[in-house]
Amino acid sequence: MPGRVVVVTSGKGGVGKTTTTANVSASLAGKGYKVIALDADIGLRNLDVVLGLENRIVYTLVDVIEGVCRLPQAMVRDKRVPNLFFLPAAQTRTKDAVSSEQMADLCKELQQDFDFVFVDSPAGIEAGFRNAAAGATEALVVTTPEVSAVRDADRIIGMLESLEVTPIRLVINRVRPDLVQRGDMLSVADVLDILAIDLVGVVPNDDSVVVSTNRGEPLTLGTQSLACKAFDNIGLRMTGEEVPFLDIEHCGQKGLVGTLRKMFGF
Amino acid sequence: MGQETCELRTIHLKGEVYGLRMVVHEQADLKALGSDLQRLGEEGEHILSGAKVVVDFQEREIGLQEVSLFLEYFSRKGERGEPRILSWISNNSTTLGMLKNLGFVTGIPETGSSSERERNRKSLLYDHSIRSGQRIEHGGDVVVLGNVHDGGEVVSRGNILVLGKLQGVAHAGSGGDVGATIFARIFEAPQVRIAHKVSYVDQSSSWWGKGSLVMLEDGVFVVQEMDI
Repeated sequence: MPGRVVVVTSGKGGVGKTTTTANVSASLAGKGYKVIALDADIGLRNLDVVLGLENRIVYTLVDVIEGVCRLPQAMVRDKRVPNLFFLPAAQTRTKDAVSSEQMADLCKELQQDFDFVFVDSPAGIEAGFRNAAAGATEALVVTTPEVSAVRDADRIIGMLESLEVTPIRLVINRVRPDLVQRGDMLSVADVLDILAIDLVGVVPNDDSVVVSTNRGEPLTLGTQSLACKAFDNIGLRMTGEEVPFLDIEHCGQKGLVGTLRKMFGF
Repeated sequence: MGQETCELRTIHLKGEVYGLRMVVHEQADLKALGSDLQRLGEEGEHILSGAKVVVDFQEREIGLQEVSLFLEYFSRKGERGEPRILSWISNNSTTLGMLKNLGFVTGIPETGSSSERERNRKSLLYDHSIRSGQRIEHGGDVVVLGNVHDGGEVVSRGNILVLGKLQGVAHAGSGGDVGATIFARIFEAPQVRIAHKVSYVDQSSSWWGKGSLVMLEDGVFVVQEMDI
């Protein structure tokens, strides 16, 4: 049975597409699935840094498409998790170096060998996004609880629907419980109300994410934090497991209830 | 533009593109309305036979009693050539409100070629939500079964009915039809457009987030709260 090709996209830049790709890929690989993370952000690659594999890149996705090398030669195997592979983007080229058909063919080829193919899409709605979504069988839309990001996510969901990439699931990243409680940030319910699609994960704003990104060590490879748990849960939900959502919006709550929540680990 | 064809104390008839306009004199004593209508039925049958009539009350405030006289007259005429009322015109807001509440068609009827009317009559049923960046444009009425999200657009030459939330732009009567209306089950649109008019909606309005019907009356946007 061919694997699942998941495009991770958002419309708006800087909301956490690459972080989500890296962490969910690492999480699923850690659970025994054979996973490849593909960086489709040609010319502005970042996934290599977040995965900590930048020093091991020899060939890129563009080299594979242009026939400079064979597909396995360009794949970088993560030594920390045996089932995690990475296909880097070319930094010296631009988005028009590949076409949608070529990307779709590449995804089809990867589908034969992997359980999950995660495609890290570039920001925007132009050719780069369309190439990334070309071979996808499903999508993870990442947004933050900000009006601008949610509106862009809505736009991208509409485009994914017209490209017939379904199911489309939502990841709400960087939720700040203190701001939500004060009414200064959209709550998870607000975002779902606007976007009306299935929620697959809520990730709290967490310093550990910044640290892990800078170190090139995906959280799900070891660190224990709330964000790590959230990414892990996204992986589990994608495999069909029923995992209750973390009550992130109340985790900053003070008083007896808050203390009890902390004591019992939510 | 109309040509005068018959004169009575309280009403007179004018020929128009759409048929006959039955104008009620602004100054006339309405006590004679009943007898005038009866006289018109007897003497003017040749004119009214099969006619399409628009009743025009002009600026006058009219009560239910006068309206029922017209209804009685037209129902009696049914067996002889079937004249029928196309619509009712009034420049008086109380009268217009009453006519609309009775469910009557108001305003000057639209004219156009029959093929155009036929095309306009066809409705579009859209069974998805319209998301940001998506736009649908249609010649007739548009019914959206989902939401119209912020950044989405619906443009219709007829009416627009949104059964979900309306947060994007809705433009009804885009061809200039001032009689077009917009209804949303949950109205949260910061802007609405009917014909060539635009209105900015205040979020603190009492009907914000509720079922609302938006229409134009004498060039002014009127909102009627309506829960369905």
